Amino acid sequence: MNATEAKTPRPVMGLYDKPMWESINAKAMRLQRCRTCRTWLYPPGPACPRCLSCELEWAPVSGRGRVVSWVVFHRQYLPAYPPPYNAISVRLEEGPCMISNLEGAMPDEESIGRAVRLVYATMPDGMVLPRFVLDGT
Amino acid sequence: MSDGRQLKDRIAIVGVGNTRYGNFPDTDDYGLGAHAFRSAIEDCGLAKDRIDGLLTCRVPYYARMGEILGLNPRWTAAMPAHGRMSGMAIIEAAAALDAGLCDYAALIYANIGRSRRVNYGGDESPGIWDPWGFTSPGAAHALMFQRHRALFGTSTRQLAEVSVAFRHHACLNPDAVMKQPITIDDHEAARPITEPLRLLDFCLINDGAVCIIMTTKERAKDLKKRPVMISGIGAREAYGTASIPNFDLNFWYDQMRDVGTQVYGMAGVAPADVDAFMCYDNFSPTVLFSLEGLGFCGQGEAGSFVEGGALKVGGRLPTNTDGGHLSNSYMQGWALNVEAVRQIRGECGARQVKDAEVVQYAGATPCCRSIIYTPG
Repeated sequence: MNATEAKTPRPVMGLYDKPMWESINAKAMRLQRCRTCRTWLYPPGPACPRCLSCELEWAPVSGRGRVVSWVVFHRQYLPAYPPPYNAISVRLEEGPCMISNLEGAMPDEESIGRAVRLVYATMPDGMVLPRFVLDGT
Repeated sequence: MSDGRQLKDRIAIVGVGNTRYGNFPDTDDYGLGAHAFRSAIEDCGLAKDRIDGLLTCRVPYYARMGEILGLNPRWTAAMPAHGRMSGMAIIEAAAALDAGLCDYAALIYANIGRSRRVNYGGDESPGIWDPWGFTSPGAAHALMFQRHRALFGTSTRQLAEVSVAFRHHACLNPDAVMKQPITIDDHEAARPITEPLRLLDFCLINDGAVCIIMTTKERAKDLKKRPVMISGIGAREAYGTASIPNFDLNFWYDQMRDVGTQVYGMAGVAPADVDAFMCYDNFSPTVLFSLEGLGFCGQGEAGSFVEGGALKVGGRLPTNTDGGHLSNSYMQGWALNVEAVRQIRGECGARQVKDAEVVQYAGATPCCRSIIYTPG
């Protein structure tokens, strides 16, 4: 089986994840934000970790962030991901850290700290994934 | 803040036991656990029926373990199959003994990951980052090491010192799984798994079991061997990025600093007093992070600290003298605590650290822990 036939691994859908993945499919990613203290939440959850408020709203993210670190997988773990492929950790402008992939170029020694911009990648099986490109590209 | 100082030198490890390590499809968790328990009981000379506390880790069902061993304790605890649990379990048992909840505690860890072909990562362990292909616990350590490299200039040849020193120790340990010496060049030439980490940065997966028997200082006097005292403990969790398993943006530095303040303060020693260091090593980078957080060197300096075989017996800080998870056995911290006891007893043969009196266990994980052992 090659990557074009393999199904992209499905997201683990907890109780709070559905609105986020719907917004990703609509190519306008939203995350939860606390109405009381404005803290952003990610992954989605039931309460604000800062003030414990349950008054959360779904708000669009800016799509801006910075590369925290990166890794290149050289082993095949998942059918949709033949090696080599990269994964990056991104600190979103809003605060949370997420794992994603860098598109357009493989990360290198200069990547950590670089500004990145959110893009929506459509996988061979049609699934939409939030990924990143280096800002200015 | 209150701390654990009231526990200083009140609780002892009096018996240790382990199985052989390898691939044992003909037994199971309970069979291995029973073997380790029998050997720990023989080690301390205690009558089996005196055991009135049971802690199991990675054992499917604590009550079945009790049934198999013929134990009906008055204190039971069960811990999940996470490596970080070993230090936590020993500290919990110490607190239970000190509180009088039991008189003699048996702590049993068993692992059948090799013979049952457990895979870490991929379809068998779905995680929230799978849509991006990010899986396997080693990937988080690769992320951290990459960042350490970028911030502090740490090289993979420096990281190799960790794997090379532990393999050297495994070659001196009759129980160890890996017996072929390796060099820094071997480490550099090994298959990349999650770049910048290579095969020799990853722990083993093997079957085996470990048992530790603990009691109070007073009761320890009547047993076969000289007790090994718990002289210091330290603890701090890092749950802020728990959704990225085994990942911390700052290498658990702040947590390990806190742990160091607690453990050294309670034991009344400093890093320079540590004769041998037993460091949780699911992946080699966490050894560097532990050394920095505990203050063996400054942050960013662990790469140069470990150069020149510093972690070998005879070096400035003999570390994981049994070979650790990288080369002895994947007993998730349990075998490292057993090795600490054996070093203090002087039972380590070719890998014995001369006059080892202060031996420290530490694990930099989302639940950071450290224990300092001294002779009773």
